[in-house]
Parts: sequence; structure tokens; C-alpha cells
Amino acid sequence: MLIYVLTGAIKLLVVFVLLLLYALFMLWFERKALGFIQIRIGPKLVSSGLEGLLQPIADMLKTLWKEDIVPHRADKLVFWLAPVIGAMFPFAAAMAMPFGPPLKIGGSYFYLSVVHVNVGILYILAALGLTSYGVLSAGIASGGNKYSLISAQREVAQMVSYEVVMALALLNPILMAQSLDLYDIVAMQAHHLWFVFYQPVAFVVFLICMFATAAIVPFDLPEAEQELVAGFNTEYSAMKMGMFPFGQFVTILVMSSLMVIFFLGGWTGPIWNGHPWILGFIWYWIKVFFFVFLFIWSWGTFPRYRYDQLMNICWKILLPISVLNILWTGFALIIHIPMI
Amino acid sequence: MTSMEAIIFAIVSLIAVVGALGLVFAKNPYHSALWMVFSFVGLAGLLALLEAYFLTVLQLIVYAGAIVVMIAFVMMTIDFRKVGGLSKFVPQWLWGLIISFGILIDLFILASKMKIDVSQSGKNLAIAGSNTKALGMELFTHYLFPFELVAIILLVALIGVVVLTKREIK
Amino acid sequence: MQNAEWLLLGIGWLFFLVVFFILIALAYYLAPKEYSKEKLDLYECGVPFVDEAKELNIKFFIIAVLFTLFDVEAIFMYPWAVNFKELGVLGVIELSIFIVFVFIGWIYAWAKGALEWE
Repeated sequence: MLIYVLTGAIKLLVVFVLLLLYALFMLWFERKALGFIQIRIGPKLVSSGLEGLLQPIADMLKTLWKEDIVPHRADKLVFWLAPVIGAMFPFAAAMAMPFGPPLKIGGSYFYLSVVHVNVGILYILAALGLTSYGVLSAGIASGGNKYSLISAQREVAQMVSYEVVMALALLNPILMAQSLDLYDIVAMQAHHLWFVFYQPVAFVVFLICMFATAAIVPFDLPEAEQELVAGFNTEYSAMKMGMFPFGQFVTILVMSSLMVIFFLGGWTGPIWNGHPWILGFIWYWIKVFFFVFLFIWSWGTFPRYRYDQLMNICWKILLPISVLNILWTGFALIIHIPMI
Repeated sequence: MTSMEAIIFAIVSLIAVVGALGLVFAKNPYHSALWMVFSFVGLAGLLALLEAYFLTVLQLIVYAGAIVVMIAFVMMTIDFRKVGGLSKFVPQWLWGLIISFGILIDLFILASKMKIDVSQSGKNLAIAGSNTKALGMELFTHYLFPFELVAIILLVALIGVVVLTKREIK
Repeated sequence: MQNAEWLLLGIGWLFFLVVFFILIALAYYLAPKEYSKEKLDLYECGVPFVDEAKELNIKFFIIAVLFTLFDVEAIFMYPWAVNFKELGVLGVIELSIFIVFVFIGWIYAWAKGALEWE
């Protein structure tokens, strides 16, 4: 047990460093890709040989020395707590996220995630759900700033609404795999077709939920600059403000990996049967990064929905569709319509 | 119960109790809500210690995630400062105290009579595989009627909310 | 070894809490502190701040309650999904009854206008 926890602690540190590096990379990649989409150059001056790759490190150091303003009307305790909560829970969710196919050493498996819990998916949903307290606290602690408050209410209502639909959409692959364990779900798809072919409806529903829960552009109502200044973190400055996009980037990664694991076969590829381990690893990250890129792509492409449209999509369209889809899946599995 | 488990039990139950005390004594209602989340996380830890992992995530999703968000939204419809100015305790606090002590004593009596062997909890289920599976099996066979009853109770709650807020909507 | 995994999760939560707190505390420590009254005021942009949270629309409350109810219902379906093969036809029928109740509530909420945003 002690050795188990120690290896886990080492994995925790490794994952923490990797996620930090990923977030820094995303800071650069986001700006570069948005620049490319909008026919601009993007960051270039810092490390010009590397296309400005070191820009986020400069940004990070700059953020550390920025003046940190806590408004005098703010609720000091909650104001300090909010960015910590907002960054902590996406990282906590990432603890259960697989970073690659399990390595077979001797007779036992070595899992490339910090923890391998048998209720993995529900744990990730729980941790991502708790992220909403970061947003809510930021809005409430800002001492009555209208923009912060309205934005926090909007974002939390949006996150929780889509969380329900997300839980329902993920139920379909779980019905087919009959396990809540992320590794089992991938193993199931190694023997059959990817679940996206059996569950196209759930796939589309989950895709929409992904964008909505991460509050990325077609659904970025909380950060609607034109009406709400900067959203719930209007009053924040320096590192405290930096924490929120940090958490958001990790949320995007976790969502993308969930998408790949549940619908696109995880680390199985069209021409892979488990053997060279590294190939599975590459397949997995190609797919995950495709979805990470998809977030930024949509960021630079789509206009924004109105708030009433956003809520109607969730409660009037996606909710009945996903509930009926579950019934249909159950029915079809009983009379063996899809091949499982 | 090994000594390590005892230490972890002490920590998580401390989290739960401190959270509950914070919930009662915090002046600002939003602080109370955050203390409530803290307390619920402690309770989830207790459930994890009993190896009831499905219930752990349920505690985190439903209680810490959903119910406290709901309570926070209720708070946001009223004026914070007015609530802060009120007396901390309701007039019925004495009765509440007596009843909760009664329940506590009842629990003690129950616990001493039932002789629950804590060291054995979860062992049988661990052998049978995932205890989510065992829980689901029980829920959908032996406890089917209560399960369907839950659906009706939730329906009643939903109708209640819609009726109570209907005037506001129009 | 599930209990070890959950112990690790607890350690991880504590770790992230402490690390992120240290990060923002460090930034606060390093930052210059030349405050003035105007700097510490709220951002208003012509719209005066609200007195705490009185502004919330009752709609958000309804959404929060609906979310709680539907979330409980969604979570209740998970034990069924895990036992799908063992429960078979009976399970599907049981769940259909459950879902019918959910749907009645949903239709009622829609009919009474609880899902409308003007």
C-alpha cells in the first residue's frame, strides 16, 4: 500500500508538471492559432526563431510581478479562495484522466493516470462540477460588481444545465460497456467498432456539451465582452486572474480525453491491435489534440448564441433527445439491433 | 481498523465536523454555503473510507455539486446584508437542540446494539467485484418500489417548484 | 487497491489546494503595492454597483432546482447501466417507468413556462 501511494505521488507530481507545461503551451497555441484564423501573425517577438514559443513563459513571469488589486468592497476571503477553487478542480479531475494506454509490465498493468478508480467517469464529472464554485465565488466576492455577478450567475446556470445532459449522453457508451471504468470502456471498443458509430446522437450531444461546459465560443456567454466587460473575473488582476484560464485549459483537455475515450476508441486506432505500445499512445494524443484544436478553431470561427437560445438548446432539445436516446439504446441492446 | 485508517478517519471526520460548525456560525450566508461544500467533501471522504465509492461520487455530484449550487442561487435572490443582520439562531433553537441530542443518543444506542464490525465492511463486496454493480443489482431488484417512488417524489418536487414560482414567471 | 487510489485522490486535492494558494500568495508578495482609493474601487463603467446580490432573476433559481432534480435522476440511471446485461428486459421496463415520470415533470415544467426565457 505504501509503495502504491508513493508511486501515485510521483505520478501526481509528473502529471502536475505536464499539465502546467500543457497550459503554457496552450497559451501560445491559442494565440497562434487564433492569429492564423484571423490572418494575423500572433506572438513572434519573444524567441523569434521558435515562432514565439517562449512567449507564455515571459507572460507567466510578468504576471507574477503584476500589481495585485483586491477591491476594498470585495469579500477578501472568498476573493482569494475563488481562483484556487477554479484552478484546483480541473486539475483534480485530470488526476483520473488516462495519459495513454496502460503499460503491460510482466503480468500486471501500469496505468498512465494518477489514479485508476472504478467509478472514473463519475469522479471526473463530480470534480468538473465542483469547478462552478470557483466562478460563483468570483462573482459573489467581487463586492457587488454587476458584470461579475451577472456573468457568474450565467456561467453557473449554463454549466449545471449542460452537466445534466452530459451525464445523460455519457450513459449510452456506459450502457454498451457496462462499466464506469475509463480503461474498461476503451477495452470494449478494442473488440468492437468505436462507440461513435453506434451512438452518433450521443456523440453530437456530448460535443455540444463539451463546448458549453468549458464556456468556449458559441457558448461563451459568461465572457461576452461586449456586454459584460470581462465576465466573472472583471475585478481580478495578476496571478489570481491567470488562474481561471489555467483551469479552463485543463478542463478542455479533460473533456477532449473523455470524448476520445467514450466515443472514439481511446488508444485504439484503425490499424492497431495492442502491440507496439507507443503507437496506441500516439493515436490517443492525436485524437485528444484534434479536439483541443477544435475548441480553438470554434473560438475563432463561430458567433455567440443568445442566452435564451443557449438555455432552450439545453432544456428543450438536448435533454429530451438524450433521454429518449438512452431508452432507444436500452431497447436496441435488448433486441440486438447494434452488433453488441 | 488499522491505525492508518484511524488517522484518515480522524482527518475526514474533522473536515466534516469543522465544515458543519462553520456552516452554522458563519456570518455571511455565502460563507455558510462554502462551509457546507467543505463538510460534504468530508462526508464523501467518510464514504470512501467505507469503500462505498459510488456513494462517494454521488455525495460529491448531488450534494456538494447540485444542492449547494441550488442553495447559493436561493441566497442570491435575497439581500445578503439583511440576512447578516438577523439573529443567528431561530427562536426554536432549544427544541432543535433537544431533538438533535435525542437523535444522537438514539444513534449511539443503535450502534452499540448492532455491533457493526467496521473491519469487515466492504470486504464481501470487494470480493464480488465492483460494489457499484452490487448496489445497482439491489436497487433494481429488492428495492424497485422505493426506486420508482423516488421518481414520483422528484416529480412532486418539480411540480411544487413550478407552482411556487409560477406567479414570478408571468 | 481501490482504497489506496482514493487516499491518493485526497492527497492530490490537498496538494493542488496548497500549490495554487502558494502560487497566488507568491504573486501577491512579489507584486508592487501602490494602492490609491480609486484603484481599489470597483469597476463601474457608469453602472453603479449593486447592493450584494439582490439582482438575481428567479429563472436562475428554477434552473438550479431543475438541475438538481434531473441530476439526481441521471445519476440514478448509472447503476442500471452498469447492470444492464444482468437486469435484461426487466431493467429496461423498470427504467422506462422511471423515465416516464421524469418526462411528465419535464412536460409540466415546459407547459407552465418554467423553461421560457424572454
